Amino acid sequence: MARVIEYIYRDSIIHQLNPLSKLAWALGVMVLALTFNDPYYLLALLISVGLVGLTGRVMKDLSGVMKGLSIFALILVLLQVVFYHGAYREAVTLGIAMGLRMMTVVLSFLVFLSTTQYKDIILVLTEKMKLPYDYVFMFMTSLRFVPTFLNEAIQVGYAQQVRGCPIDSGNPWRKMKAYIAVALPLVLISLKKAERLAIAMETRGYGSNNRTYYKEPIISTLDYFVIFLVVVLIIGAIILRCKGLGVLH
Amino acid sequence: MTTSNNSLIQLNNFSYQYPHTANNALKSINLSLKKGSFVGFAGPTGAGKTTLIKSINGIVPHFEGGTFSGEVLLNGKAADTMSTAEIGRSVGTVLDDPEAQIICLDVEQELVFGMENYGVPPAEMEQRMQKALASVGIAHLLGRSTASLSGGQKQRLAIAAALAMLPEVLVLDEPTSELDPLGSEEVFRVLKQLHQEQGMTILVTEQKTDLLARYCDQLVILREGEMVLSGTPREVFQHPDIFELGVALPEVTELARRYYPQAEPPITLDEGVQFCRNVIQTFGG
Ligand SMILES: Nc1ncnc2c1ncn2[C@@H]1O[C@H](COP(=O)(O)OP(=O)(O)OP(=O)(O)O)[C@@H](O)[C@H]1O
Ligand SMILES: [Mg+2]
Repeated sequence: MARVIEYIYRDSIIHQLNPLSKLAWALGVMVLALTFNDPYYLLALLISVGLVGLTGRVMKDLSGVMKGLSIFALILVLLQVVFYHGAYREAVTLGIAMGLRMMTVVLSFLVFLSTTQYKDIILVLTEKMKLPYDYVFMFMTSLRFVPTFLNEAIQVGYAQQVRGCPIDSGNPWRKMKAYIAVALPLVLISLKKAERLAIAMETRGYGSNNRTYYKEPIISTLDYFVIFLVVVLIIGAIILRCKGLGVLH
Repeated sequence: MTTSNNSLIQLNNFSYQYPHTANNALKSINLSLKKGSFVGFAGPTGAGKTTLIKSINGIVPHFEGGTFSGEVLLNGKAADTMSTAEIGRSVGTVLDDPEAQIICLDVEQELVFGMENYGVPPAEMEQRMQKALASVGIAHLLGRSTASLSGGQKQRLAIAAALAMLPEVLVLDEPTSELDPLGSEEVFRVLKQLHQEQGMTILVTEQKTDLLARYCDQLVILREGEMVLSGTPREVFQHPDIFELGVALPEVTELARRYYPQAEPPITLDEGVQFCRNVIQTFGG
């Protein structure tokens, strides 16, 4: 679980792509996933995302997360079945579509994040997309802290257990209280961490106004091709959708 | 702005109080440090060492808030009129926790972070990066991810990241508190080298007084926000009052002073060995 959104160093064609085209791809996948609700279309989309992940040689590292996601998707299907007012078949189809959609979108972003160095992501978001540097940096930093945070959650959990905090007891009420006991020190730790990081950043000139950039990732012909492909696919999807294909009512 | 002399860092009657506290964390500090000094700060916990370091790099009062009186001058310019980022151009900071001050995921980006913020031309970065890494002896680590470094390597990276910005002075707050004895020695050796070869001005707080005794030119003892002693390590550790100040003495000094209070105590291990020889000879003869 420790490496949910970390950059995974591999030598692959996906890694070499410009972050901008990978971001365009991930956003394109999201648009496609939202355009259709036919499970077959969504399944095809998920498989294509999986193939991109395989090309990037990161699927093995993401398999743990994907397992968790499929369980979550299954729960989505079950919830649909229980709470949907309508035909049973319809409910199942809708639930499956929702589950697939969620898995597709999440997987595409995981592939993007694990094949792109975070400094390059920052660069593209600030320089090319013209988003404010402060927000981009804060967002990326918070992502960066997720693995540390999970580790700490485990450790704080141990610390509380040692003190007799009943995290694994059966009673849900007691369990919830125990989790709050874990969450509180966690929030304190992360606040302290964020403050220290902010201090470290400020003493190193963060917030001065005349930044330069060391290396800017290049845009290759392949990148133009990827971006072109994404645009074509989105236009194609919109046409299909207008014709009523890939959508169930 | 008062006395313009050649001090790099000068504190005139500087007092500071954190927000929502009853007492001053620093009380009327007067301190004048020249370019090229290697100064150690020691004192019991809560003495105000960290606060003093933070007053020099601008975290106090800019980041912390609170109230102050007196002034901190950097090259004759009042620190409170400059932003923290501006101060950072001339004051490089290294903190105690290696985890909390490594900002980026890989060594290269960590070194470049400060330079990018200050608008260093990209063509110049490469060379500065190489030099900074070489200065702290980790040139081979370029290209590694920061998570894969040891504590000592992380601290040296933090020093290199500060050096890449070409500061005039390096301030370090307990840079070895998370390190084992070997790692601690490593960090101080790097500091000594920077001091000798590049004339870098170095201010460092440290609990391990035997390191300060061996490496610093000047030692300042703080207690309850006051500067109580200042001088060469020898002057300070041989001072009659040092036992009352709650500072751990280097072990050799402590032993010698306990058993031979009238003799001049050694302050380093080498001197301790010599001291023992003398004692044995005196008793033997
Ligand atoms: N952020 C803060 N807010 C309020 N009071 C603080 C803050 N930081 C430090 N203090 C108080 O200021 C005084 C000096 O603290 P400081 O951290 O400078 O001591 P120190 O000499 O660095 O101690 P240590 O050896 O434990 O690091 C202490 O009484 C401390 O409680
Ligand atoms: Mg301190």
